[in-house]
Amino acid sequence: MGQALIIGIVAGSGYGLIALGLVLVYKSSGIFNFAQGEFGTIAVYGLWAAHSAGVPYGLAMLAGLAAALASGLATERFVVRPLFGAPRVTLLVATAGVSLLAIGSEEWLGKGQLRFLPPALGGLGRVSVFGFAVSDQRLLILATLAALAVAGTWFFARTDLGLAILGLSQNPLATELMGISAPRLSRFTWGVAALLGGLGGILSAPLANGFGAGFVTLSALIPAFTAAVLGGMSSLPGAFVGGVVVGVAESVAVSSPTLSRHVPGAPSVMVFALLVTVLAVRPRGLLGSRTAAATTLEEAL
Amino acid sequence: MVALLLAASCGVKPSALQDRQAERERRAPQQFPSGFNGGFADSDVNANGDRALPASEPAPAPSSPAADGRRAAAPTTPTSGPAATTAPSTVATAPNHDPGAERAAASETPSTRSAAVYGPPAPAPAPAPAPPPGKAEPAPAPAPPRPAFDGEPDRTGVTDTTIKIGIHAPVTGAAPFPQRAFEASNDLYWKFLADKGGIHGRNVEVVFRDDKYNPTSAVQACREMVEKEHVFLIIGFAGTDQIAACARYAEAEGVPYFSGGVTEDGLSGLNRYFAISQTYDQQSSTLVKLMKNRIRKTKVAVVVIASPGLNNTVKSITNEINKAGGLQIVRSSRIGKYASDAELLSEAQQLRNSGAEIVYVIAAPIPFIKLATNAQAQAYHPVWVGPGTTNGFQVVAEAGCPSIEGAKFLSPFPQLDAIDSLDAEYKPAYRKYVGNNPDDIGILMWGMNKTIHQMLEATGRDLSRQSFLNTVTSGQVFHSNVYPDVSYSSTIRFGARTAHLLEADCDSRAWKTTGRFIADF
Repeated sequence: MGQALIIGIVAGSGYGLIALGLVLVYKSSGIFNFAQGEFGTIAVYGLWAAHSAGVPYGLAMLAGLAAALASGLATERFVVRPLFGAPRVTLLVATAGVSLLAIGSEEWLGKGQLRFLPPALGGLGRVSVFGFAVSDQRLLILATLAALAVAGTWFFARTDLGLAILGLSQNPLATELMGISAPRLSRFTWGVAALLGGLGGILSAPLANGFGAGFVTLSALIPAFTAAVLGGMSSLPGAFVGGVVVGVAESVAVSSPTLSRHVPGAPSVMVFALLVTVLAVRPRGLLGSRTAAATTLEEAL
Repeated sequence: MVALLLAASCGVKPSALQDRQAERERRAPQQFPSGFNGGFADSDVNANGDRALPASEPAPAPSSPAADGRRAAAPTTPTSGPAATTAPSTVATAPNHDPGAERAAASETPSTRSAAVYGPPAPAPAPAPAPPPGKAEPAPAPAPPRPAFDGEPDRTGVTDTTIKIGIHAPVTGAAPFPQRAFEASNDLYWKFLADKGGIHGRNVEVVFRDDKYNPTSAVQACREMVEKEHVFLIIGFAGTDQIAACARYAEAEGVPYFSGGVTEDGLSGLNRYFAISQTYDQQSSTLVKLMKNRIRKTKVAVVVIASPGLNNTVKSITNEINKAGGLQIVRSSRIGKYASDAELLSEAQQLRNSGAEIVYVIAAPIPFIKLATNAQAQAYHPVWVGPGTTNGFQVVAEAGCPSIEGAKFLSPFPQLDAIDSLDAEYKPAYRKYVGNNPDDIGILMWGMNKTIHQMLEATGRDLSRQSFLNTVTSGQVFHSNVYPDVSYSSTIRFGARTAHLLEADCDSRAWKTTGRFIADF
């Protein structure tokens, strides 16, 4: 059980990083952003391209993040903002379209090849907990996620800009009447979300050794969505907690010899069962607020 | 849901699995034509002298390359052109013919002999142990003959000058073929053949579709190829679920369908489906002998993706391991087709905890590489073993090394280090028609298309789906010397008996071909 917990935390932190971006966009605009995974993949391609061209790894990571930022801002300017007054489901479909466009472009520009990336930190097994060796790269992800969750919470609770973003998500007209520029806030939010997705991508891609078109979307978007919903769509720490819970649930399913042998897709079954249970008992998610739950319910109705 | 989880946790086996296994046990085994050795060259020329030699052929000297299990190159030059009217010399009727002997006698030259191949000597067909008196089990009933291919000739996709064929493969998804490599070489063999005169005056046109490693997309792709492109036949290169789905669709439409060998579940009853290399089930026996006699470790784990189509493969490898003696299964698990990071991390840890020294794995390249990488991160280095095809691509070695050092996979096609000695025309043709350095994806397609060519060639100028299928199922042996020889009959659709052995060499980050046309160790 100890090992399953550690594995869940370590692997779930990767989900959490993607989930943070999802929660941020949802908090600010009420949109389930299906393009979040592709911000990560674009960052990975940016890192790979720069590193392959001889740019040092650290600078190449910045190049990857810049690519993710650019894609986030472009999505906001050319897709989200023109549709901001449209029903949320329209925006949801629009972000799915952005994701498909990005995957197709990556396929085309990446020539359909599997690409390889070395990790930012190459140490293996520097830390061992319950007999499970945690690589430096995974420690880096864990630390990054924890720092971002804390910083994000502080940002939304303690800064004017954070409060303005929350206001924009709940009542755009009232926010603009207060003299706050909605386009500027929207741009800021999508830019930060894209950076979070990019960070998740460039930190997790080296763990897989290889990546291709749609890498983050295919490998992490569904667990990240689950993590975000489990944690409560309005809570940044909830994204972290949700990621860990998803990771632990999957790990427990694999660790059970009976489940792993006789239940095909046991980890997915376990996560689904957990999700249904949490939503039945606590619809706002583990750390979600009542207001957000009510808003979600209103939108659903 | 909760009840299901609790039941599974308590060891209650889902009844659906039991039903499927019972159905499998009731099924009669495939029958092979007498005299057919499945193109197992090394059994053709056996160091132990087990092969029955024709009277006119001298016995091989003990020191000859053929006698120690090596296999010689065979020229690929097509035997037909517009003027050709006879079947190619590489096609023969199985029962009274030994293609291996013919090759050994006719095509082995000093230069080819110097290219050593370390296939093992052929196993003589083991005599069945005599059952104890009074305990004889009833012989399994032979598979019933399938319906003959008759009726009005169906010449869909065939004109006076062309034959249109369809190919689907996972260019995107969890088992990505390198797209550019595929596009560069999917019609390479047919271009090469066109310059030699084609097949009885016809050239082959290829229509390709990406099946996205998804059965629904695969059926959509096959539907397009059949209904819109009107192809004569379809080839599926890889992906168990996609191949099974497309094969069933093709069967319903009366379209011949060929694929690399995958599962037998859901495919064994199809009349127009043909596995052009060994199925996973067929490879189980070879892999277990590899574990026992070559790797010589005892603790084995079985990790297979959670596809219902692979249930019988799990049973097959489990039975072979249990039957072999001296091997112990310490873990058996099913991982998701798109296994998540947490799942693969946990699986690696569980494998390590189980003490498995050998891991038999069937998974798409990306999950496999991630699993191996996670294992290495835990300082855990088992010998990875598995059946072909996709994990034998060079790109897997490039991405998976050093985590997969020493991994051993069977493969229907040899790697670049061996192709020259098996088919010297591949690399020059690749350079001429593609213009780049040859790659292994090209070998995969060259070999499969070459085998299809032998079938089309043998059918003759009067080409219809009926005449083609009757030729394919006539018991003739189709020999490419790249893919294993295959032979089908009225009851057999899984017609290959051998495979190549690839081993990961992480010094060069490449697969090396360490055995050719192997069925035993």
